[in-house]
Amino acid sequence: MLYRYTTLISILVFILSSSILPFFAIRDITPSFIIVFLMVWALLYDKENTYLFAIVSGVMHDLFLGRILGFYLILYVAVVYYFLKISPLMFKGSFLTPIFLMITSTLGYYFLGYLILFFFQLNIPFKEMVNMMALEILFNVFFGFFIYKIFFKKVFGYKIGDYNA
Amino acid sequence: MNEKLKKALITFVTILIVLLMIFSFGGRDRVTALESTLGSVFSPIQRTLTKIGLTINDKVEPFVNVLRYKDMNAKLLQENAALKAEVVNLTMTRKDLNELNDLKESLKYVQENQVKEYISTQVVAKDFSNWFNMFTIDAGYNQGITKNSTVINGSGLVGLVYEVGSNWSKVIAIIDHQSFVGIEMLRPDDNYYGVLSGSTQYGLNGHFYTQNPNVQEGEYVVTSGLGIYPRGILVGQISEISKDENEFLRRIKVEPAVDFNKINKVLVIPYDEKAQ
Repeated sequence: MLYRYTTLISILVFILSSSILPFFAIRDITPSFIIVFLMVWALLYDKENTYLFAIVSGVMHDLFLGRILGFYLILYVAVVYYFLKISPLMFKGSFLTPIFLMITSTLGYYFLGYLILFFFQLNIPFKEMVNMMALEILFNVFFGFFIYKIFFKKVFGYKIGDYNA
Repeated sequence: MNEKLKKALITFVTILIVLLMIFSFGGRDRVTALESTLGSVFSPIQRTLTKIGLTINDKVEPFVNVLRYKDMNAKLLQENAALKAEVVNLTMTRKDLNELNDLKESLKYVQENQVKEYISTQVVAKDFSNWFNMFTIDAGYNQGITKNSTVINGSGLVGLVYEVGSNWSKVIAIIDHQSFVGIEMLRPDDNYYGVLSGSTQYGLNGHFYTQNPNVQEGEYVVTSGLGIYPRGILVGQISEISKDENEFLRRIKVEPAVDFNKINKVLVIPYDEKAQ
């Protein structure tokens, strides 16, 4: 995929996430579409484009809505690093792949975020973080699965889980 | 790329980001020119999309909340009865106040800390990460906004300006975990002072400095003026009072007066360092 498309899509995902998405929060929690798209890019496109997506999203998030510059950049790049390390071991055509990756990456994203904020004394209470994390995992799995399904068909030309294709 | 060089580059970039985090911690009075320009470019798009989101939310919400209307109606009727009683009290207080104003005028008293101008602005983007409760507004130092300016809306206190760009600013909501608001009771006598901080579920938790304050659930709290926020801005309504056996102070939960889910138009009171 061309770098300019990745840049444009990452900006679009950020803008939509920060403007429309917060109005549809359930119990004040919203899914992270950036993590969802990072998984799609890591599994279906190349390494450079995935890192570009993470960097653009991270920088935008830090500049416009971040409390400390670099916080989201580190988190998104770490998530991509995890996706790229684990994706060669995963079967891309399986239903379980996006579900597993969404659960583990959201867990990692939260624990790394908690650790960074701990050093800045900005961390939220651990119990509250676990509650937030549990709900966000559910959302990310739900949206991650459907978005991955759409992109998978677009890239490979057949449906995910269609082992006869 | 050479493996050694790659590792060195990653280490260098990581150190650079950590330094950036340390440098930006606590917010900056003004963001860089590049950030300002980027913000000015994206703000109009975000503002339009935020309006669309708000409109959709307004249309969808009645269907989502239809089962809660009966309870809400009962609660409002109860509140209405309490407010009627309050009106009588306030009318009497107003009479006293008019007398005091006449006295003030006759003594040529000059009031300090009077807010000269408010800046009306709009929320353009909200943080969606669940870590912080921050949002951006489409006014910056060109419109007279400074760091630590107080942000309010028609319902009450919203938050504090954290970083300022040319035509946009970042705001921390009072419901953020690291936000602290000095409060006092909204009542003519028996005043108590305390502090609130944000929590998840758009609520505020805190305590009064007095050990056994005579406060009831349903009473309103306003800013006390101790800290950055000016005095007398409505913060919210006490929803729960509890006493922790291990602590001497009464813990309170406050429901914010502002509906942070639907926040759109806000007013900014520029921070006057001299007045503080």
